[in-house]
Amino acid sequence: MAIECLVLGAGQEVGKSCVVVTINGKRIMFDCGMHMRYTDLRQYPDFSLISDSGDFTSSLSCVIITHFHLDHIGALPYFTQVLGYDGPIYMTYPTKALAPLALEDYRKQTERRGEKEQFTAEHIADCMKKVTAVDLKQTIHVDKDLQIQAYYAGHVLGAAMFYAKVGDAALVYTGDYNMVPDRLLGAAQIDRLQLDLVISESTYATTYRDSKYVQEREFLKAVHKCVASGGKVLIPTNALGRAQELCMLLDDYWERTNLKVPIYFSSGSTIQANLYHRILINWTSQKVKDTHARHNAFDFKNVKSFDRSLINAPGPCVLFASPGMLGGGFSLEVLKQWAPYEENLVMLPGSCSTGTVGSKLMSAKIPTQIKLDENVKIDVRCQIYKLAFSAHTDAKGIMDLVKFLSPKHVLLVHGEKPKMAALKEKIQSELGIECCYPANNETVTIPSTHHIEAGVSDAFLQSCLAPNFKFWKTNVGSDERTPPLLQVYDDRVSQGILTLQNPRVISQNELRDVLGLENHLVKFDHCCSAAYDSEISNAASDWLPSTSQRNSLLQLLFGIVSRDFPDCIMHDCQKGIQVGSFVASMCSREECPSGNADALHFRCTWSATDEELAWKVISLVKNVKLSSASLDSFRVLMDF
Amino acid sequence: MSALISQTCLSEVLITSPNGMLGLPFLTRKKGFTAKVYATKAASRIGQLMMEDLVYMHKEFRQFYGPESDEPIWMKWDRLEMLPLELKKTVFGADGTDFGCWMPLYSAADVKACMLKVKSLNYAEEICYNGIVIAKPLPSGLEIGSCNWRINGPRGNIAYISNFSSLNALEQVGNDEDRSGLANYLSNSSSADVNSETRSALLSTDEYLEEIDKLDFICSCSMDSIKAGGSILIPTGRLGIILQLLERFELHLTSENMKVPIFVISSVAEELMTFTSIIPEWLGQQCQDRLYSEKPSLFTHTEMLKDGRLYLFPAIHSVELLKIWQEPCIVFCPHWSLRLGPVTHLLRRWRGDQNSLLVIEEGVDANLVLLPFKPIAMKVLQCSFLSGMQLKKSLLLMKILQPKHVLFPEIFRRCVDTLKVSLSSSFYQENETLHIPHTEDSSRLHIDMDLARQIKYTKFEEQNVDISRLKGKLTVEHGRYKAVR
Repeated sequence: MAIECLVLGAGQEVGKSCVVVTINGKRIMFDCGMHMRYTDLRQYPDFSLISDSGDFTSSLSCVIITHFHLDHIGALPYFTQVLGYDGPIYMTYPTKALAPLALEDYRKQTERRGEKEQFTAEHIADCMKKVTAVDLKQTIHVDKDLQIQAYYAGHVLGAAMFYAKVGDAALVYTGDYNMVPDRLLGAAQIDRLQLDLVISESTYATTYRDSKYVQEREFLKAVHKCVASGGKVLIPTNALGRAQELCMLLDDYWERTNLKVPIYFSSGSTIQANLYHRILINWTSQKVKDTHARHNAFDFKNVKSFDRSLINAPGPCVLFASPGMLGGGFSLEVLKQWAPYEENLVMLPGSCSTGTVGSKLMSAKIPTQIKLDENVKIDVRCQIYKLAFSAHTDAKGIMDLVKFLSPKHVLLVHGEKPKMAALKEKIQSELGIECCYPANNETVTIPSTHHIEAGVSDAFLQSCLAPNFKFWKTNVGSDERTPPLLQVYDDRVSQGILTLQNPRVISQNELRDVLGLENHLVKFDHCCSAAYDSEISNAASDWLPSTSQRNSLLQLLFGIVSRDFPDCIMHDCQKGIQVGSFVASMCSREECPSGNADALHFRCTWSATDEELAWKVISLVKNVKLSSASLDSFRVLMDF
Repeated sequence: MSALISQTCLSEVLITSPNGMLGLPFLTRKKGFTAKVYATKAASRIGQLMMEDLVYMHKEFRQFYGPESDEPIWMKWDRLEMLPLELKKTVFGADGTDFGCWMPLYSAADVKACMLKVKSLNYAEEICYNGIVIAKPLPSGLEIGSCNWRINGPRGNIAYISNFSSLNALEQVGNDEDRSGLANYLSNSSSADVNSETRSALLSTDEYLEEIDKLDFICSCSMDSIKAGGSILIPTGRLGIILQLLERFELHLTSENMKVPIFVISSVAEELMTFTSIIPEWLGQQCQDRLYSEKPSLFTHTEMLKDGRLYLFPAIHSVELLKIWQEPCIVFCPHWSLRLGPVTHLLRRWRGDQNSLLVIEEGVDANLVLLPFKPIAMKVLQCSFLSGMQLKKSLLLMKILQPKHVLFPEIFRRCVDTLKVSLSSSFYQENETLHIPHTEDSSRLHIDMDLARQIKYTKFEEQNVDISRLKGKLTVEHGRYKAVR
């Protein structure tokens, strides 16, 4: 049995995230994303690899979406409405609320560009109706065997990592995540789980980033400087996520510094998204949550809605306009008007896909001219600021998460090939965990955990769970003044008997009953002659020690043995001494099993478990040198 | 309660609803209380607010009537002990549990300390006690945050069912998955053979429609009173009812084109309403659909607050309240006992007005609660709201779950007996411990494949048994015994 991972997207690249995992006969699709670089069918994962017949509903157990970014959900309406997948789809509540906005925003952009649309507004609405919303940590039984669970990922509002388990085989698909909290969102959070596989994003596979607070401060400083000198700030962003995060920063800063410069949102969907954020405030960072009762952080106090006539109104302002990469639409329209003035400022998002105006600006030296098409050129004299914010974890975060989860395997997606190779090396060498980063449309097979099940007796459990402490004293260093270090070991080794028929594990003691056998005890028997000096042996070959002599002999033996074995006990009526199961008594000639004719023998018996101990004691017994003097002195003492 | 702590080692407390935790500080403030308390996030938040409100009202009461010393004299144990036998019987009750165990109310600090001990969960979030017992709250559909508990152990599984409502506008309801969740674990028999009739009967909407009818009846009575110039007073602490009534009132007022202010007066009104506007995860389908709509808002009250149809005030003497106060109006306020909170003042004001209407819940002795306000000219409407599961429904549920054993409350004994239900059942009552036998014969052990591969069997011909020595490490993890190498 194994876990099979078919990487349909985001293999050695960023875009159209989609991994299909087969685990103990269940097939799960994680994310169903779209590649933003293409406009034809290449923008979608190659779904035909899942099923030749095109019957996706029966070949997949469920689809899981981690967050609302288009490279994770963009292909979903196409997959469900055009290709006809009709099975269960899971995402968190915020993702279900915000995804339609993101999808609709994208659809409108393609419509504006005059490209052929792959899905309609109706498709989006119908697709979202099929979605089951889930809460964090809620255990969801997709069917009898498959269980999934969402964990907080901190990448955008509602982003989640997903845990999936079938039988004993389990994996985590991280989606995009962030390991440090920021102003808007908390850090990713997950339980310590028993995992065969972790599928992790690796956007920043080799980068180590500074704290976000520094970047936030620089951003605010740049905006403040611009508006203070009367300039206009254009912030091209998509409607969701980034807009709310930056606006929260600005609104808070405006409050603190008592700025009165207006902040505008151009798009209706941004304002709509704000409403969602307000209701979904429980999914933000702890600080935002804690203060919401007093003031909901998404009730922006300084934000006003924008009107086209305000583009050329005098005076400073801050404007959020979509789309984020200036690929057309309102943000480009405003750029045309504002770019020629050097007091103005344009905030570019962290990354822009090649070919967009955004990417041209990114690499341009100011002042410059940018060609929009054959006839239109913009003079750019304004300032350009590149936002360095990122809601992805850096290399340290990835390593931390992998180390924390300690899976048997790691699979990297959503990154650049050379960097992924470096991270793979690091994971294998530093953490000793197998790692791979397959390309798109490749399948990787990973062994998974299995078990056999058996009944278990209470006696066995009791014997295993009862602590078995052992104490050792070890001397630290040679200095005798430092007290020895006491070490405690809980040395529990579970040992029992497994029966094949009607599999059941029992403790050793119960076996006899199960087999219906009598108890047989293996006992060792050894006659050990006590060394005595010639005086006694000369006395008589048939010398027989009197009872009192026997007693004193045993007494003597006890004295010697108990010096080394403190748990040695003297038996009642002085028949012998005992350490564990080891018993030593005087051997009587008549009963001696070894037929010893000599006078003084100790008869030693012990059971198999105390073998080692027994021979240690015997070596002591052998060293006992009995002299008549010692015997006499004892006798005297005893008689007295 | 003290017996509970001293005699048995209490290790976990599971809460099913906000109302179900109002007594919690009494327990948690006891010395030696070490148990973990689990409640759903919504229940613990609402429960906390209700407790704070209670403490606030109590404080207000003491401001009026003067503070009692630490404990009222009649609560002093030594004095009680000195009473003559007959009197003592009256005070303590026949079984010694009546007035004898009355305690002074908890303080704000007690509530705070209590809440620190409550661990709150999402629906269907699992908790694991000692590695081996797993408990999980599933929505029960009665109130926001209310739940049934499923408890899985190695020697049997338990479902604690406080309610099972399958259709409710407001609250997240127990759905089919939850039911099968309960069923799978409660019994080993398959529930597939239960006919669909039973299922649909359980899912029937009658109960819900009945409830809506009741609410509408309250609304239309209110409309009549308002038209006659009277005001409406609804003393209740049940958040679910307040929210549902607000929705219905909004509909009725709009359809009648009436403008009447609605006041919610409670020290925690603001917190409660803010809280309810950010919890889509805890609400029913109808409310959730509003989240996904063009104008996302979970309840109508958000709108009503904005355009001045609804007002929230912490106390009746708020300056703002006096400024905008106008009659007729509709007022929601605590406390249902009519002894505490804003209701006492408003009742005194309106009791003589035959056009005004008082809505109280069934289950309280109307004569007794209204006694201090008599003579009363005000109309009184006593109304029973859904507050649990009916026996008929619980029997249907049992048919689906097919448990090996059921515990019913003592009051059901006669009904269950007469219905001749073929169920192994027993009946519980207060201060009585029941012993239920194990349902599973033995625990199960998972043997890891790595370890299993080493197994070499020896055959005992005579007994026809193959056995092998098994040596490894036993771990207890998430409800499972596992043997690993």
